[in-house]
Amino acid sequence: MSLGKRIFQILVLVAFLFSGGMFLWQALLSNPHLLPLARLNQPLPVFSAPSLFKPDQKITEQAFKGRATLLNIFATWCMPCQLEQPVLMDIHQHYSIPIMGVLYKDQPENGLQWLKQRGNPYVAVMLDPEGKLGMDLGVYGTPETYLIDQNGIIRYRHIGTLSMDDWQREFVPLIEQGSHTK
Amino acid sequence: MKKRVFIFLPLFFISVSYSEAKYVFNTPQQQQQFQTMTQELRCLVCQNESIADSQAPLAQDLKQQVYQMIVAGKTEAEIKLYMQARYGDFILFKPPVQKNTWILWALPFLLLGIAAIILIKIIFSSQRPIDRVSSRKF
Amino acid sequence: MIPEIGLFSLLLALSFASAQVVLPWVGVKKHDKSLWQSARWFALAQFIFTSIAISFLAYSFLTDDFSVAYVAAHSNSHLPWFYKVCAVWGAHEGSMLLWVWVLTVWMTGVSFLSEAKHHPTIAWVLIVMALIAIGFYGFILFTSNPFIRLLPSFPTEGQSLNALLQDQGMMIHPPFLYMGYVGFSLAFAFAMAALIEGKLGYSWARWVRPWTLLAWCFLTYGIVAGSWWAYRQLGWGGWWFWDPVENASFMPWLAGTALIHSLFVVEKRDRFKGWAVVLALTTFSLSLLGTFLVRSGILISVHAFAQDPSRGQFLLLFFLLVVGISTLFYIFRAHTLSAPPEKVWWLSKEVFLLGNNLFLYVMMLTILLGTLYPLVLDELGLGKISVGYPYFNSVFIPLMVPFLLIMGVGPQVYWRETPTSVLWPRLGGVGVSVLAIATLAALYFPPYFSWGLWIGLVVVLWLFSNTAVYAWKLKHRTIPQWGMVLAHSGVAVTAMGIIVTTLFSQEHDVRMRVGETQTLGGYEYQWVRLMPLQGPNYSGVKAVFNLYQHGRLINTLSPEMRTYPEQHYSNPKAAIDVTLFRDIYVALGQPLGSDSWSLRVYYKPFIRWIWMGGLMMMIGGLMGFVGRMKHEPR
Repeated sequence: MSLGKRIFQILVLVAFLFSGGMFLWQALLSNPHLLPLARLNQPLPVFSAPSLFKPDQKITEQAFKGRATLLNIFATWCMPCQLEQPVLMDIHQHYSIPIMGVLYKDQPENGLQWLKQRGNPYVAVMLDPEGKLGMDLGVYGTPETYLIDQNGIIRYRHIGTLSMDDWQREFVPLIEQGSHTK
Repeated sequence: MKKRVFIFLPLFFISVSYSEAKYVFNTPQQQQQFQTMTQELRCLVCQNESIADSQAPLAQDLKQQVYQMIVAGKTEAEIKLYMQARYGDFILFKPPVQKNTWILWALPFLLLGIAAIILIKIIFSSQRPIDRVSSRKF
Repeated sequence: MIPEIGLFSLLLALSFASAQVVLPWVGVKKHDKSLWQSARWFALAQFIFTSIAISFLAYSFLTDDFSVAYVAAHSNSHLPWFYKVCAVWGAHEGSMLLWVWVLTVWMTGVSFLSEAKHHPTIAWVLIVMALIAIGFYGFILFTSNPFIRLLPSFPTEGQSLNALLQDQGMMIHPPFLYMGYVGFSLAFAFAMAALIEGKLGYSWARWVRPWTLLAWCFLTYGIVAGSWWAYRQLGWGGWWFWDPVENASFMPWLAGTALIHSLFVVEKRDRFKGWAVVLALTTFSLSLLGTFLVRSGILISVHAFAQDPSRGQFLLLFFLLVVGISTLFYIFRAHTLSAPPEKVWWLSKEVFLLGNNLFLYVMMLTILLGTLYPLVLDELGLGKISVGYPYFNSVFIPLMVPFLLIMGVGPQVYWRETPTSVLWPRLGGVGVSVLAIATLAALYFPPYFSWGLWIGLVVVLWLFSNTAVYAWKLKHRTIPQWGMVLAHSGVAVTAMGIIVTTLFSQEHDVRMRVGETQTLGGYEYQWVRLMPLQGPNYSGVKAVFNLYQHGRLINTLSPEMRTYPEQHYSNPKAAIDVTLFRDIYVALGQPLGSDSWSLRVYYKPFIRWIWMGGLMMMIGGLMGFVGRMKHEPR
C-alpha cells in the first residue's frame, strides 16, 4: 500500500475521531432533556384567559403588544417556582419590563394567597387551570419564563428556576438588543 | 379460531387528582387511532416513555387533547401537526421526513447499496480461473 | 477494614496488570519463553485480587456496612440478601468493578486454556488485554471508586436499590451481558496480536473462534434476559423498545455475529482475514462505545445513570484511544495479512458469508446512526428531533427480510462454486412448498388475513425449511454443524415470535371493580379479590384474578402493586399466564377511587418464541464451542 494511501487513511481516521469525539464531548456537557422552543420567533398563540385579580376580565395576546414583556408560568405547588419568586420581585422592582404571570393548573384561591404572602411581581396574572394555554405555548414543566417582544413575538424561553445570573446572562442582552432595533 | 371482542366500559370521570380518565369513542377505529397516536407521541416529562404509558400529568393532558381531537374527527396528520407546532419534532417518536432527517432515512438503504457494490467488486477482483475439479463441498 | 482491603486488592491488581504488559513484552523481544509465559500468572493474580475486591464489596453489602458510600446509596437492611448481592452491580461504580472482574476471568481463561498458550501470540493477547485492564482499573480507582467511605459519620440506613432492579432479571442480565461485552476483548486482543506479529494463519482462527463464540453466546443470553426482564418488570407488555441502551447491546451482537461467521471463513478457507480483523476490532469497540453511551447520560433512555461528566469523559477518551490505536495498527499492518485472492463464483459460501457480514455491518451502522443522530443534529444546532422505535422498525424490517431469505440459502452453497443443478431444484422445491404452506396458514389460523403475516410466514418458513434440508443432506453430522442448524432455526423461531406478537397482540386498558369480569382475545378474566400485601421491604396490594377460557378456569393470576417506602416508589408487578403459544398478562395501574382500579391486560401470542429462539441461538453457539474444543480432526 502506498504511503499516500496510508496518509489519506490516517487523515480520515483522525477526522472521524476528532469530529466524533467533539460531538460526544460536547454532548456530555449539555442536557439532552431540554426542549428547544417550538414557537420561537412566532407570535403568541391566540388565547383568552381570565384574570386572577379581575375575574370578570379576560386577558388576550393583545395585552402583549406595545412593549417587551416577560411571561412567567408558575404554580403554587411547584417548589422551583417558590425559589425564583424573590428573583422575579427583584426584576419587578429594578427593571422596567412588565411581568405577566400564568397560574398553571392551579386554583385561583391558592394563587391569590401565595402572592399575598410572597409579594406580587406581576402586572397581571392569567388563570390556566386546565393547562390549555400552557399547551398552546409548549410548556412542559414549571417554572418557565418567556420573553415576548413589543410585537407579541416570542423571542426566548428559560426552563426552570430563574436566577439573577440567568436573568443577566440570558435576558438582559436580548432585551437591550430588542430596544435598540425599535 | 379466536375472535376479537372489544367491550367498552361506560365512561365515568373521577375528580381524584391522580386518576386516569377513561375515554369513550364512537367507533373502534377511533379507539385504535387513539391507541396508535398516544403510543407515537413522546412524553416530554418522562422522556423515554410514550404518553400512553407515562403517568406524568402533562401526559394525561396531552392524551386528553388527543382524545378530543379524535372525537372531533381530526386526522392523524392534523394531530401530529398540532403537537409539533407546540413541542417541536421531538414529541414524535417517528422522525418526520424533512430536510434535516433526509440523511437519517436514506442512509440505511444507501449503505446497503454501497455494501452490495463492495461485494460485487470483491467477486470480480479475483484473477485466477477457478479449478472446477477441486471445488469442495460445504 | 474490609473495604480498604478491597481497595488495596484493586491496586495490587493494577500493578499485576502493569507487569502483565511489561514483562511479556520484554520476553517476546528477547525470545525468552518462560518470561512471556509468566503473563499467565499475572492474569491469575489479577483474577484473584479483583475477585477479592468484588467479594469484599459484596460482603459490605451483605453486612449492611453503610459506612461505605456505595452501599449506603444502593442498599438497605430490609433488602433481601440476593438483591444485596445484585446491588453490587446496581450502579455505576460497582458495575465497573464487575466489568473489570469479568475481564480478569477471560484473561485467566485464555492464558491457561487456550491452544495458543505455547505461542508468543498469547503474550501479545495478554499484553493488549492488560492494557485494557489498566485503563479500567485506573478509571475505577480515579473516578469510580466503590470503596469510598463516609467517615466519621455515616447513615444508619441506606437508600436501597432502585425498585425496578429488585427482580430476578437483575441477577442474570448484567453479568451475562458483561461476559459477552468483555469477552469480545479476546477477539480484539487476538486481532491486535495478529497485526502486531504480522501474521494471521489458519491456527489464529482456530484459537480465536471458540472464545468469540462463547462471548457471543453470553451476549445473546444477556440480551434475551434483558428483553424478558423488561417485559415482566415494566408493566407495558413490551419486549424491545429500541432504547439507546438496548441498541448499545445489540450493535456488538450484530458485529459479533458477523465476526463468528467471518472467523469460520478464515478457518476453513484462509481468506477474508482483513475483514475478520476489522470485525474483531469493531465488535469490542462497540462494546466500549456501549459502555460509554449507557453511562454518559447523553442519550434519553430508561437506564438513568446520573453522574458527573468526568466519568463520561474518561470513557470517551478511552474509547477514542482504543479505536484510534487499533485502526492505526490496521492501516499500517493489514497488508501483512492478505492471502492471494482466489477466484470465487457468485454462488459460493465465501460470497454468501461475506454478504452476510456486510448485511450485518449495515444493520449495525443503521442502528448506530439512529441512536446518535438526534445528538449530532442537536449539537449542530440543526434541530431537536427524536428517533424512536417507529424509525428503527421501519428501517430494520426491510433489511431483515432479504437477510433472512439469503440466510436460508447460505448454508447450502458450496465453497468456491455450487453446481446449480443441485441447488436450483432444491430451492425451487422448498420455495413452492413454503409459499403454499404460508398461504394456507395465513388464511386458516389467524382471525383475519394479514399480508404482513403472509410475508413473515414465507420468510420464516423459507429459512427454517432450508435449514432443515441442509441438516438432512449433511453427510457427516458433527456437533458444530448441528449447532449451526439449531442457531439458524432459533433465528426463524425468534422472527416468527416477533411477527405474530406484533401483528396479533391485543391490549386492554380498562377500569374494573372487584367482582367484575372482562373479556380479551377469547379469554375471560374475573377479579376475585383485592388483598393487602406485605413483603420484606415493600407493602401494597395484591389483586387476584381468575382466568377462564370457554368457561373453564385455567389459572389464577395475582398482579401486585408494590410500594417501596424508602424510595417513595410504587411498582406494579405483573402476573402472567404463560403457555407456548400465548401469554396473558395482567398489570395493575392506578387506584381510581370507589374501589376501582385501572388495569392493563394483554393478550400476547407467540411472545415466548422470541426468547426461545434466542435460547436456541445460544445453545447452538455453545454446541459450536464444545465441538471446537474437542479438537476435531481437520
